[in-house]
Amino acid sequence: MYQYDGHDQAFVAARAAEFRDQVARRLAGQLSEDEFKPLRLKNGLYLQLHAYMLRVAIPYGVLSSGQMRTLAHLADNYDRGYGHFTTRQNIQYNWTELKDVPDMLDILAEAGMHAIQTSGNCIRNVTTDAFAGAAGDEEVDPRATCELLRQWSSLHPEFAFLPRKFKIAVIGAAEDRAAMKFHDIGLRAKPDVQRPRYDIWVGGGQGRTPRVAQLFEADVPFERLLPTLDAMMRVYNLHGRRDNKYKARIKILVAEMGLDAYRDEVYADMAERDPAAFAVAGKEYDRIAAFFDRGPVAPIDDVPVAGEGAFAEWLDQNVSAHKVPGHAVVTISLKAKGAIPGDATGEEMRLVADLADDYSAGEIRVTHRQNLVLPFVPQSALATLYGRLVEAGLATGNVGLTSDIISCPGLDYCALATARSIPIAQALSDRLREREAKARAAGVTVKGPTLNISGCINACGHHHAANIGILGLTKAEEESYQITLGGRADGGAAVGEILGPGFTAEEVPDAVEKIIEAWEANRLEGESFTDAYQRLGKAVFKAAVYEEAPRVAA
Amino acid sequence: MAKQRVPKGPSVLTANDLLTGTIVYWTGDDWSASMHDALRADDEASRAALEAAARTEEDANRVVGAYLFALDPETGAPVALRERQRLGGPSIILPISTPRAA
Amino acid sequence: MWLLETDGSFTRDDDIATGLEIPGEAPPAERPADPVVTIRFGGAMDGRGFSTANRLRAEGYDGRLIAAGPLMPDQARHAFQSGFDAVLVSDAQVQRQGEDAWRNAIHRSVQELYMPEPGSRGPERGIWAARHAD
Ligand code: SF4
Repeated sequence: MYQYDGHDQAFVAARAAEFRDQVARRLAGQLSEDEFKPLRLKNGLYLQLHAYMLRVAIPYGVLSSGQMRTLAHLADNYDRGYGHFTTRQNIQYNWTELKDVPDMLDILAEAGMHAIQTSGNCIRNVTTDAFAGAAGDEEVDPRATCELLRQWSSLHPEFAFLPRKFKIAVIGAAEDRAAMKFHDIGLRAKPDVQRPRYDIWVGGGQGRTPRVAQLFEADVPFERLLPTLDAMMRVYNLHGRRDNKYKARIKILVAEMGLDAYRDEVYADMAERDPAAFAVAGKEYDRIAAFFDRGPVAPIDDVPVAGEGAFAEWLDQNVSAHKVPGHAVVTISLKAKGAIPGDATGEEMRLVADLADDYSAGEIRVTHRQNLVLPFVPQSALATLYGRLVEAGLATGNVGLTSDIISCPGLDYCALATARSIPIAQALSDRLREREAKARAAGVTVKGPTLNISGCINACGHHHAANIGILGLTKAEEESYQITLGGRADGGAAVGEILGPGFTAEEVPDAVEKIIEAWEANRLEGESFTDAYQRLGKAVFKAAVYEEAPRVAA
Repeated sequence: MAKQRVPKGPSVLTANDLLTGTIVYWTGDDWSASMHDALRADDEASRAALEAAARTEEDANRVVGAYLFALDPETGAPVALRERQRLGGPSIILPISTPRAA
Repeated sequence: MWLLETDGSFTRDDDIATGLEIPGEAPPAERPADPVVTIRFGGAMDGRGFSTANRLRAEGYDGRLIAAGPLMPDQARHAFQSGFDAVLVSDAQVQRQGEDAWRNAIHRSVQELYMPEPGSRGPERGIWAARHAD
């Protein structure tokens, strides 16, 4: 993985010192809350419902075991012993105090980490495929591009006070495991002679107005990548709407201007500029890419691994093909039955760090589905690794199943929430895990629809992009849950459609179960949920859910 | 946070402590972590006094995001879902105290 | 009024030449001929002034560019690195935000970025350039 040099180290240390000064000036009254708020947000510090929340960047979801131990240390010493891994591949601490945050940042800086731009109206932490560098179908390792963009966008002078937040994702494989088309800018890296070339997508996003990104330009050579992004950001900064925060994302600008007009503005801006200013980026890309090219593991003989019972389920669901022979990619599910999606205790983080040292070249990934990944596991170590995960209660074999639920923190923590999402996720997890166990025991392939939950229309829980999405709302000061069907986050990205009237929290598990049953009853052999939904239409599901009185929960 | 409108009925003043972020309620001369200690405003004039206290306390950099919220005249409980959640704390069992199921 | 210069000097002066004043909202259609141009930011959160300055530099404007408006000391480096030569600060701002905070605005913010924007007035050279200086 990428290693900090003295420059990177000095950079994050300087940012931590800068923030310490900002906090001191806030406490002294030299910065008003209105002034301080954007400054703290740009450093990942929110004021949530019950406390300050610090969101720490895990750039493109890659962590070393040492960094994971630092995260555990922060959880144990500055929080209540746990943290929450987010859909942006970051981690957030729910119980921090403003006065402690400068110290936390110093500790992070020492570990080569930071909280830069994990919030605020700026370019956010760049995300990617959690299987980058390990996936069997990878064409270009996206991490070098991600790191280049991290460096370019960090503390960018011109693009720090944008109309709204700005999210970029990069992928380098045919399969999209990063919901790339739901980003303000999405990049698909492809192999080229020396450095990659890119398809640039623009205007995707979730929130109140979900949009799938459109192709801005295909096959952009590396030399033009940063000049193009620079101009794309500038046109957005100058023309994006600032009168209404719900219309301020680039997706609205592109929709209102039209893609062609937006593109013309971008090219006009580029025409004034000498791209030579960006020439140094090529050498920097090569320097960064060298860290990733030196893959940490060498090919060894393939070892067939088979098991029974829960181990077999885990092998089927949580273990994926690796590009290096003899190895496997292992996903550690943070979605045990009834668990809070994405939460991990300090103890669990330390255990994962130990496992990474023992079996995965010291490297860990965070996925946008809120799980952890050990990316470089020798096949011969799978059985031992599984045994240690079982001991820790981290061996749930449900990755990619419906019980692998994405959930945002919702109204249990979030100041913007309109309903709770975690208890819904927990109730669904209980119900779905039972279904999955039964199906498995009956020898049925259980791969079912994806299920994501958000506690408000901001859609941090990616409900629009789920096969079954759940959105929590406040109706007459009570929680009400809206269900959407047919969304997809993969290459065929699509936004889910609202099924019908909302449900109470208690009704949600039954409704979801009926939807899954309707799919199972009506699907063709091997047909995915979204394909079946496309073919059958909404009516079939509507009938299944609304046309009989809700069952009384046992 | 968006500034909330001053409620019409009985209400109390709340905020988050600037230094720690803790939820606090205005007692009339200080902040308390317990809503039991909160000064309840039942008429227009006392609500205006709470509003004034909100601004003074914010300007003194003791709290952030101070605002009034409505209470149910009968039960004295917060009317808004959000305030009920805020009062009760997270409704879930925090992960540190729950060993994971297999 | 006070002026913060790129070298960090911060001085009060009642008679500051601000030249042509334009709003930060949009770069002017024509490149100004005036030797001094002041770009006024609509608010501290409105970053358009930074892009307007950058665009003027890209178009070849090489007169003096001054940033004005309700900015914070923390934004001074953003201004300089976007092509401004100076930041104009009102007496009221200095009073509330602290003379010290403005005087130290450059030293206390992160100065060295990875890649300076074209047109930047510093104080950086760029980490990438330093890494690859042959
Ligand atoms: S979706 Fe809404 S409730 Fe959930 S984390 Fe985002 S802002 Fe908060």
